[in-house]
Amino acid sequence: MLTVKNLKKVYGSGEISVQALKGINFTITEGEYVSIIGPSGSGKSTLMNILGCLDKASEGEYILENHPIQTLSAKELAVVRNKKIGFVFQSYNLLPKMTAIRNVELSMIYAGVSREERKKRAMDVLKKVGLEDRMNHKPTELSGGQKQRVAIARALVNNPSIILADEPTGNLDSESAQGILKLFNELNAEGKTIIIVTHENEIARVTKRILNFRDGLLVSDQEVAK
Amino acid sequence: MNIVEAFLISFQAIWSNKLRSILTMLGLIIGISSVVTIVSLGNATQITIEEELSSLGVNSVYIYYEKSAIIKPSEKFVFNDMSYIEENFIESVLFVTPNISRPGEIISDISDAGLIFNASTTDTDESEDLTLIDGRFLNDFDISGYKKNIVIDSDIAVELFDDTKISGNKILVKTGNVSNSYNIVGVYQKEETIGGFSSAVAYLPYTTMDMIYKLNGQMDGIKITFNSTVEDPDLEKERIITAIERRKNNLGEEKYSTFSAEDLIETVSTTLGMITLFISAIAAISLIVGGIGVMNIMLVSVTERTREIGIRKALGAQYSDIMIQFLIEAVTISIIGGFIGSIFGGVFTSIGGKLMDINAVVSADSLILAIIFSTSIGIFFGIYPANKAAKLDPIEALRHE
Repeated sequence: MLTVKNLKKVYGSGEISVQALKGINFTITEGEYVSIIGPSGSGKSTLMNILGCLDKASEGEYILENHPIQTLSAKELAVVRNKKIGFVFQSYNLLPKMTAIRNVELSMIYAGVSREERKKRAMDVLKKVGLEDRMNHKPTELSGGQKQRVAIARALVNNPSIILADEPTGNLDSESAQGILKLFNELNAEGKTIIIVTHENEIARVTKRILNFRDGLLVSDQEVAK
Repeated sequence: MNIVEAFLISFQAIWSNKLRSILTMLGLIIGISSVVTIVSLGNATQITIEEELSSLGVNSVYIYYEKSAIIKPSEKFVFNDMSYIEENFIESVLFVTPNISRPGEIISDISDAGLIFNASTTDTDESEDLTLIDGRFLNDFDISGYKKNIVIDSDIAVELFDDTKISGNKILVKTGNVSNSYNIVGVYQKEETIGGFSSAVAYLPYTTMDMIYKLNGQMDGIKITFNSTVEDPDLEKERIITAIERRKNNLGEEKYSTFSAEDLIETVSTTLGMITLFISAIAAISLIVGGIGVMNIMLVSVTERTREIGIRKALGAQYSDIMIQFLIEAVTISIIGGFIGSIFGGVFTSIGGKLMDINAVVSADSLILAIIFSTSIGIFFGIYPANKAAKLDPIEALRHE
């Protein structure tokens, strides 16, 4: 469902240009649970931006569900982000003045879902992540783990092809982090494709497949032995 | 994203920055309220003046010498032109009165006053719509006898005698270096005028004026008051001019011009309209300043909410979604400002109307104009910040702290 071929990304131009990705190839099939791991500067954030359709590769191909992403316009990329990708960020990225349910409704607003439908779906998905009694709380009234659950609910609500999580447990204590990883596990068990970007090996080991990056290259691609 | 959704988001944003939003609106409130007030008061003044002028007689016309024309002595208006017009246009003309005004002074035992003397016939009280409150107006005997009789206004009467019931008293009329004793035969009610600027006028028999000012029987102009049954005063006026031209042997030479209350109303209306427009234009500058305020606060808002924009874009917001969101926020601020400004404009208009003693109401036009204007300001000054927000790169925006 997701293939990258000889993917390259260059920042800047001429002598001061930096090659962040130097030709990457891999395929992720539906229902996989993958972690992208590497130290800072390895190119994993660049890769995540490209996979999330926030950025375009300089060279190579990125095919998501048979769509050649690099040929799409900015407007089409926005539609792909809306419908195919669910983002989970390290710093949650919830809108602080909105309640949990309003935050979850946000991506449905841009998908053109009606008000009643939005409310219903947001409530369902918040229930799923275990926040049925926190729906009308604002982010400041929620713990870190709860905020990340809201973010996951928001990522899930448009029923995307992939969940793209960037250091999802980076700001959490170990107990909350365990809870979040458990939630990802459950979602994967239900068939969701999940990609976690992280620099921590313990987190990567929770997933089923590890793509290891270093200096802009994919250095290893291995199944996690259970 | 639909418009209702965009309005809700913008209300939320405006509400969560109440003080800032109100301060931003203040510029527009001041601008809109002053424009509404000025336009409404201007219109009301215009209507009031027009009404007052037309009550002075739309049915009358002044005939003068054309300013640029060279007038031979034989072409001047003389006293017996009046009876000529009266006799020849008996159907349409009610009165013909001379138009001769000269400055002078009157002196009583108590005080003295400068004023204008008008040459009168026995009809002048009616053609000028005077209301006598004491004594009588000039009569045939005063005219034919070159009497030193005078009719003065109530303000002068009070100034000179501390009373309006003063007919029968004597005063000294000073013209140039000559002083003569006159009998006050009547006092007329001085009408209040808008602004209160009008000179005092006293009426003398035209024969007496002729004598003291050595007019040689000539007049500066003629005032003709038409019968109210005349359907087309303009046409009648042309006929009279033609008759005068025949009489003076200068037919078609255009040596005479006319001036009617209607002309005056038109001139005053045009002038007042221009003054209103001019002051409105000055007030409109404050609207532009207000608009710049809106732009400024929107730019601040875009910078502050860069991360929010990044999040929205990551979740699938397109250029147009962000553009509409910020544009609507700018328009909402402007419309609310315009609405509050219109309310203040209404209040100021009624206060101003009371102070100026005119019947002033805010016209629907000026309200609609105010709302259209404030919406346009919102769009015009909102486009740049909204475009700036919509163009933001999602990755950069998400990284923004």
